[in-house]
Amino acid sequence: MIVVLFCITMITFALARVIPANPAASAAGLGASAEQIAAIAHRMGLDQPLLDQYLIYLRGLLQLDFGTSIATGSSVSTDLGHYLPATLELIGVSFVVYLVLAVALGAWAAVTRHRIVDGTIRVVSIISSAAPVFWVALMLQLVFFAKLDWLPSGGRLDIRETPPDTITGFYTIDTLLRGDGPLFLSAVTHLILPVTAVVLSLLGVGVRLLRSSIGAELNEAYVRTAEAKGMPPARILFRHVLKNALNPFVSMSGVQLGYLFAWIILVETIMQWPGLGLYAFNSFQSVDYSPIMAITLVVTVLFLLINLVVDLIYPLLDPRIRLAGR
Amino acid sequence: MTSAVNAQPVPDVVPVRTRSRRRPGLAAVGGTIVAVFVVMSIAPGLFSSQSTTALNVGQQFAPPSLDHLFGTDEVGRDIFSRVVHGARYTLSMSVAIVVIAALIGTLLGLIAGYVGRWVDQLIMRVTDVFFSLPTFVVAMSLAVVLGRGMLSLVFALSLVWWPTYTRLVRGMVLGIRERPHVRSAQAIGAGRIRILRHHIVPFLTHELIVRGTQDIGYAIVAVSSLSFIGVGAQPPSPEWGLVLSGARSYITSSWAYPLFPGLTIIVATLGFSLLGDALSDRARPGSRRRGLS
Repeated sequence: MIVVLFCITMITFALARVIPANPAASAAGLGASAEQIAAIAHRMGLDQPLLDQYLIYLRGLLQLDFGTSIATGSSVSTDLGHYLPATLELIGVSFVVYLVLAVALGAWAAVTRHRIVDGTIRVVSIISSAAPVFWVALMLQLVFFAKLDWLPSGGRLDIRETPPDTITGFYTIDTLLRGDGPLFLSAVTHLILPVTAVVLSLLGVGVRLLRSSIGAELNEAYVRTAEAKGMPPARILFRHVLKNALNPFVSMSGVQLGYLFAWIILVETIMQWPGLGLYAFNSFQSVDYSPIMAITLVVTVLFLLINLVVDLIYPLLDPRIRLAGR
Repeated sequence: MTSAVNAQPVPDVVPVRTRSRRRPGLAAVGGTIVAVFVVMSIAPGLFSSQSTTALNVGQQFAPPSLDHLFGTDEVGRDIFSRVVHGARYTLSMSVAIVVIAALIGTLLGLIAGYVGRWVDQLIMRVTDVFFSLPTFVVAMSLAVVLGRGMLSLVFALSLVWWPTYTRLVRGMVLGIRERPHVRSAQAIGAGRIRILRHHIVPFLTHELIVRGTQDIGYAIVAVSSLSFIGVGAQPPSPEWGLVLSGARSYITSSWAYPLFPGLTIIVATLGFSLLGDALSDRARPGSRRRGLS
């Protein structure tokens, strides 16, 4: 993991400093004089040897100094602190909804084995694998905002509303802590569309996996034993079957969560959700290197952390793995 | 890592073409879709005689009609003909990405699997690093740095795409190189290049074609996603993601504008993955004949 982190810092360093023909000129902007460019090049340390530049860059990273954004004018780490909670809120809510729905639908499909249920699941999973997530989000906006006008088209709150004072940065939690009911409702309604877009694009794969793993467990002898003892079906399902069937789903959803941080950019861009993704999108538009590299780094670190966490909770869920390690 | 763990199942003979018995219907559907899109990219004029750039301000956001099957956009351009002409851009980028990734990946996989030792170790560690990166974001920033455009997009995506092929090919090579026919070739003193070309590569092609076909579908989604956020094709190109990006601002004015280009992407992606599935069915053990190698 350390090695990978090291590699990614080298990659972002190369991307930001080595590949562009003249980073100082792009930082100085159009119409800058040669002296101005030279001054900026000196300030950025571009006149030093490459290895020194890299070490300076690494030292900056350790102090969470990602440089300054040309577009917003503030330091990238301040911007990140501002945008990250929005993304975490969106991803957190989406992922919880996804986990609950996937387990519920997967179990339902496996227990009923109904053709219509199976057919629906197949259609949904085909759509979620073939439809680009940005298009799904666009369609949701078209139906629920443009046609029905039930839900807002984007943002975290209406433009007229003032955001709650920051406690956690999660609007849903902050408004509740402040006891502001209407604002809480507004924050929730603004979450519905982006969360639906994210959940729809994750759901197909998850439900299919759970349906087959729960279906396989239901054929095991211990289920018959429990039935013979007269145990209620719900108890068999939740106490026994799910415990065994969840493992493959846990490792897969961990991978999904990691990738979610990458393509959340698309959802946030469409839904004008002011998180990391929208920040990334705006930086792409203005070809603003420092934030782009910072976002790449942050997403990679999150990606690695999630994989690590999944590896760690895997044995907690499954005693077979825990004991095999001894 | 031992070779036994990583060895992938490979059919014993170069697969003989047989009729797919599993889902002939879906195979035909996939094949037809792909064929239509290929013809569309080569000769868009066959499908649409209308211009992709002709402005017609009086015809803004016209709903679908016989004149404009998919309606018109914010400056009165015919969306159907833009989608038809856009096929060329989206598909050629997707095919290019998969072909480049497959070539690089196969070459490295062959070397890693056949040469072994430290070369294998080195190549596989590098692919491991790629596997632990969120490739979509890396490709995105790479494409921005290289200068937004179709070439950078192809370069960036193929650069993050090759490791899957390296893993696939290496695994297969590890299995094939222990086969008797390779051993015999080694025994009579055939050179490495000759063995790779005549005794190993023929066993890989089918699996690579299957994987490549399926990957083109995913590449279409990736290409249009990146173009959508402005990293790939640039206006006024009718690339599918870019057309949708234009539609984004007008969802209150036209429902057809965002709907049809997206459906086109879905149909194209499904076409390639159905065709890929159908091709992989043909390689299943049903068509296996022992004793031919």
